[in-house]
Amino acid sequence: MASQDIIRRSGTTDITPSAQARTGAVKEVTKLFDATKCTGCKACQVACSEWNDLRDEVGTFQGSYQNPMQLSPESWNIMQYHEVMDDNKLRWQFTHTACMHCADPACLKACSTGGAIVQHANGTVDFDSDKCIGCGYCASACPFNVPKISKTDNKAYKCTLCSDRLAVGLEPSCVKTCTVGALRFGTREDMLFYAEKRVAQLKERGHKNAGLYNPDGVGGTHYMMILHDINKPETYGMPADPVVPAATEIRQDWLKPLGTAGLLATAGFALMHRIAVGRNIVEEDQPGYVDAAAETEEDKQ
Amino acid sequence: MTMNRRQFFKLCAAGAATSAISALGLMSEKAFAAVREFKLLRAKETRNNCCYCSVGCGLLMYSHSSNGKNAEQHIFHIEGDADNPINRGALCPKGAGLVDYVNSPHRLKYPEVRKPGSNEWQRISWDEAFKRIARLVKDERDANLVEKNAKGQTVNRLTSLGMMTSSAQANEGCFVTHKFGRAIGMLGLDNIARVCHAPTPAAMAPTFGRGAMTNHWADMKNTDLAIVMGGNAAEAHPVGFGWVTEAMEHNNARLIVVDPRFNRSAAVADTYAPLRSGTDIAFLLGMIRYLLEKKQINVEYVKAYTNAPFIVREDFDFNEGLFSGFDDTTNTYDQSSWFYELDDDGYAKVDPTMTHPRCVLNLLKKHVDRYDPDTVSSITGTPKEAYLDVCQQIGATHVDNKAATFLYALGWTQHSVGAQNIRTMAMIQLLLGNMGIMGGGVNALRGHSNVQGATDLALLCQGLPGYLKLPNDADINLEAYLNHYTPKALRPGSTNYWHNTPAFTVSLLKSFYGEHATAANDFGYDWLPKWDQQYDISKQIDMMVHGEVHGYFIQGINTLNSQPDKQKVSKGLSNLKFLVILDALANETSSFWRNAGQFNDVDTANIQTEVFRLPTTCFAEESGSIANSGRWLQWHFKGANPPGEAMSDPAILSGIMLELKRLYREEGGRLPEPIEAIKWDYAIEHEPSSEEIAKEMNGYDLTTGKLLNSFSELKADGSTACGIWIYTGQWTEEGNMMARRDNSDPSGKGITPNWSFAWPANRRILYNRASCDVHGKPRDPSRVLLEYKEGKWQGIDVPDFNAKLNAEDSAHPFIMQADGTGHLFALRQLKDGPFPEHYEPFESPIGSNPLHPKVTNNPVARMFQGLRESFGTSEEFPYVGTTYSMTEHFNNWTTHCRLAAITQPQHFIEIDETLAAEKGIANGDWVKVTSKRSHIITKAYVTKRLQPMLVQGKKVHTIGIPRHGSYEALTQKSYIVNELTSAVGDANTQTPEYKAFLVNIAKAEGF
Amino acid sequence: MSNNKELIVRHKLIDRLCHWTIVFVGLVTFLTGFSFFFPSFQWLSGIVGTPQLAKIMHPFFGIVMVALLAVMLMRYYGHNKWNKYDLPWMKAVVWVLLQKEDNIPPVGHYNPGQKMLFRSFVIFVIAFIVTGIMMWQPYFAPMFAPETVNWATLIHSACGILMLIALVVHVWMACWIEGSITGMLYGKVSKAWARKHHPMMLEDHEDK
Repeated sequence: MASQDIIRRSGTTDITPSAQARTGAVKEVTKLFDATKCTGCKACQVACSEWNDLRDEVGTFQGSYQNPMQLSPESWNIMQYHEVMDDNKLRWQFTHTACMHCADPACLKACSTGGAIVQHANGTVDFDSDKCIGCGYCASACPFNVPKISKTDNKAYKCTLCSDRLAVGLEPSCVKTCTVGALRFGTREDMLFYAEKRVAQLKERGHKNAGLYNPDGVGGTHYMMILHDINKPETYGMPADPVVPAATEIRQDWLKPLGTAGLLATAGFALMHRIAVGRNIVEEDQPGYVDAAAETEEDKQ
Repeated sequence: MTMNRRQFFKLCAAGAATSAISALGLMSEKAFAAVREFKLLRAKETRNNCCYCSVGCGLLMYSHSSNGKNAEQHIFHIEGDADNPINRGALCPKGAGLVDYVNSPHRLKYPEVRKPGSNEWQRISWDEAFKRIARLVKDERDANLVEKNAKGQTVNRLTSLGMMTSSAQANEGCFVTHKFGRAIGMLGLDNIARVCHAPTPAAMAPTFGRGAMTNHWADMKNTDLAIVMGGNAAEAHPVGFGWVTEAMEHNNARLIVVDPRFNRSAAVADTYAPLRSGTDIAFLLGMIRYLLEKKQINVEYVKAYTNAPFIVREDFDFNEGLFSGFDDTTNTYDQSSWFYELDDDGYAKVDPTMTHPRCVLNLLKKHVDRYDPDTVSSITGTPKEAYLDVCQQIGATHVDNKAATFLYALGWTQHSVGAQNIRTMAMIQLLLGNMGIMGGGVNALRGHSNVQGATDLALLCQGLPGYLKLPNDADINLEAYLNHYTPKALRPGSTNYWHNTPAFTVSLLKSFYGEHATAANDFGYDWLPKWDQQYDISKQIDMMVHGEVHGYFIQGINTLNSQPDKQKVSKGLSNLKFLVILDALANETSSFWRNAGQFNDVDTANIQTEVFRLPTTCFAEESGSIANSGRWLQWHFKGANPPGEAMSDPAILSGIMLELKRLYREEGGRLPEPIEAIKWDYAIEHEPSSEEIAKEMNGYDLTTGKLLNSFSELKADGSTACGIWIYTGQWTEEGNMMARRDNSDPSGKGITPNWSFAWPANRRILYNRASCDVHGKPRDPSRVLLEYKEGKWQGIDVPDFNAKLNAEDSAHPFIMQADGTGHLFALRQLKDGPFPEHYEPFESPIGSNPLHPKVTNNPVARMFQGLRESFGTSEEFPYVGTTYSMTEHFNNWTTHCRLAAITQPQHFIEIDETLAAEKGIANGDWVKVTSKRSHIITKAYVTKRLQPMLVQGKKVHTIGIPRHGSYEALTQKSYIVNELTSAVGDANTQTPEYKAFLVNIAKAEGF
Repeated sequence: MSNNKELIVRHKLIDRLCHWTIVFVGLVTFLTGFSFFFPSFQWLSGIVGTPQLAKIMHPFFGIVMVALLAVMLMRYYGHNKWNKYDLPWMKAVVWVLLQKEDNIPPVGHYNPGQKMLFRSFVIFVIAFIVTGIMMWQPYFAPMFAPETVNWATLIHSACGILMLIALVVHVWMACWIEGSITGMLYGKVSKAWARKHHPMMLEDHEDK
């Protein structure tokens, strides 16, 4: 009965919405990452793999502290490392990279399968591996390049915000383990309130461009970031203006209805045409057909 | 109805989709998307502490099965314990991946032996192992025990058998290990602390009286300024560092990082200043000069609580890099002049006005005068502005209502001037009045989870538990010993707590030898081995190379990887007759005889060492207490059985000891008394429980049989027994104080008096008398620890002084010092001088000391034969190599854990962009790094975070070398980093100079 | 037997086999593809077992379909060249639908409607193979930028829908023009049929 708190599911229609009645008191939750506090220790990365029983391949050195270099079906969150020169001063920026849990999730919108991607009342976006068919639409639609398809089982994987922990009232594993309190977790309301205060404090401490990364283009995210410089999210490996991609919108919102209409219209027309015009037969080939002209010739003979 | 653009589009889209679907008459499929089942439902939860660093994070371990008799438990998940006031649920990447250590595929399961010359392990039974090892030990002891020295003094020492001990085992294991080693007569009983924090007690005890971190982790949140120097707290102690970021956010504290590399700590610092590795003393002495010149010292504090006003003997002198009393034939000091001028009563003379030219303050002023900002900048390579900025910020905390705290670790200890690095900073903290207060202090961030405990329990070659000294040849009997080590008060009214040395010593002997220790036999004093020189691990390896050590025990340390100069270590181990390894993991040391190609190119058949590999439990499989850096003794509980036949260290050592006892009983032999007398009366003899050992350490009143409450109850007449006096109170008649779990913090200042037990006497902040002025009034009303009010002391911490005394009479906060003060002048307690002085590393990129060219390096550093020849010059090896740890790994331990191996899979070194360009090295290229000793081939990380430094007009490049190279782990195969390092060590403690040596670098072919 | 009932070959055996293989393979491809495009019709993917199997099979069936289609298109290329008779026929297409045969200009082996279908199939074949490979998880998709894959997905599904519409027309016509299906099944049509629908094809035949 865990479906009770699902407010949106992929591949279904608004005509038949998910159970909404008892979500009235469910608060939206948010994970907040404070890049100005992070020391890039990777505890979040390890705790995630530990809790979710994931073990990625042991790789090789890739010219950075970063490893693995990409999210993968076995690495749902990774630390990114960026050496950035700012005002002639070096800043070593770390990004806790994981699913953003968008309010308008492009993955859910793009998904080919009913209920393989769901959004819970608390705002988290979760994949149901049993349903997933591995089409990869989510992977290509995500503006943050988060979901990854496993070569082992042909399924899409990404951070669940530890929906299994949330369901029993615990915080996500990465948040619990964060050594310096750079990751926080709470209701969206509380996190927005905290973020505002923290950004003000950072401005006082000399980070004039500090700000909150909570992009509008995807309706806001349930994983927000406080950055030293909100004008340069790309230096953290984050897109400046992420949106649900046009290709996804066109496919789902325009191609589907138009395609359906086109198909129905063609089929309908064909049916009506058949009824109206009737059979198109070669009369000569019909059994019992008497070819007048031929008979005449025979007669002549 | 109003609608914005976005909502409009949404509506359109929904409309379009709806119409399309309704046209097709679609029905939504029923979806029962359930979240993943919560995996801990009904799992057994066990509380433990992390086994890696010394922060002491609490753990919750989860295992399958109901604890029912028919099921074998298996730990499948470990996460942080949110109740623990240190980590509050957080764990660093190593801790978060602990389950992969517990379940590592490289865990040892059975006792094994490698026969001389053989290339394989052979499984044996425990019984065989104990019998064979005991026989080897007895033969060695009977052949080489020295009962009398050349002068005929009783010494009872065995130097041809040694033991490198673990600092990851619980205190109970440490205590049993100590008893095991000393009963046999071992002097070469040493510990990982030797290569780690040994210089810390060597610097802190002379300065403050005790060697431990003065404050504790949670207290860092009270600071106004944190300085990370000589360490990299964010990297090495991530969860502890969380208290620094806490202070930055909630106390508006600033963070300064001074380091050769822009490291993970620097990433979140407000101020970063680079400095050439090995020049910290110049930096800090220059800072003292700045503080004195700019009058940025806390005058009242300095006058009342330090030895600044004390007058030093007239014959004390410092000239051209040498203090008075130097003997250049032995390279040692005659320290007699390094002392106070005494009055007729034997008390030190004091000038409260601090104007006497020979008072400590004025001598210090004179001593640091040479360290002007330009000189400092040209030695350290720190840009002058950055340096002055750091001085200014630190100086600003000299007022009573500001606190600065220093966080340091191996970046200071692992130098030939390791102890003096720490001393210099400790002096600054005294001058600023930052000692004894919340948010201040000297925070020595210890390495291993229980290296504090192992140090407390003196798994070090010259100590006895509780910082008692192991006697030397001259301490011919108990009386001579007690006379030697019981100090006399140097000021009237001084508490001089060490006057209790006789009570502590006799109680210890009673604990060691039980009823065999009697007043008639000096409580068995003669049975203790007496030392003639320091038998630390470096010495022992040197002795192995020269065939003077025949048997060696290595417990829980990967010696081949961890000791400097791997080639020499390998040679030493190959010379042994037998080697006994006690470890949880299969590491390179146990298989040092195996040829691993370029990584370990040895001739197996010619290595005649018989190697025993005995599998031990890990933290999760045993109960006991470990002492974290903040001196908290936290009790942890067993969560599962060890794999295979693995056993705990106390059980293994008991197995050998009981067999030894049997052999001596049955066969007799040399000096059987200590073996027979050593108390081994555990309920299950061969399997001592942690609980009974903990009580043994706490101590009993032998007349009543009751556990003691406090070390003040100890007696010198043999009526009390106590294994380690500083731990007394850890397990009283009221129960196990270390297992207390009330995390309430009534003051909100991070003091949780009912959580675990902090030695000594549950004091959380040492020297807390200094938080008040002489009259007992808190110096800062916003951080009240204690207060003298209404004729008595009250407050939130246990007073670290005799609280029966009134304010004025107790105004000597450093009670372990004979004069009650903090020592700016260290008297005779350090080998290389009462004041610190800048000496270049033994391998210096500039080759000579700009301050005194004739004395370039630490003049009293120990020089083994051939060591000096193994030093490279800056011509041949122009770059400064420095080794360090990374957050993702714990030495060569987590390389056996899959989760850690994933996050940092391969060894690499770090170089700056300028040098990389010069050498044609691109990021990710293979490089060969060479020192005078050997070479490694690894990958290069070209980074902006290292920059060349301008030293004496010369560009100096630093090459950063993480130390996590393993070739028998789950990470990619790598050279052992200690191929490169030198065995030269700190003059006081012989901690190797891992942090500054010379290397060269070139592009290379990979493997 | 009337010579009017004399049969002539319209489709060679190899082409007929090819066509009906494509029908089978295409049915699977289209039903599974349809199930991905319209999640509510996911049950259609049941023809190969489960939706997961459908995801795995779809590209392989698709490849076979496209390959065979390519073979057929190449073999029928000659019949589908645009010629001078086509334009007048196009102009009279309404009469074709209304079956006013007297008003219909003669055409050859294929009429322009069929030729247009042919051209659309050429485009679909190319589009399917290119976009299909780009979006093929987990093998090829990771080699392309996600945005590219996303656009490929759009084009792939748009082509799918358009081709489906084209196929509806194809089937509609095949069913309506009786004799077509038997022609494709057995390869032969009667001369009368040919004269009625493709008079110039008969001429070609008789020229030989």
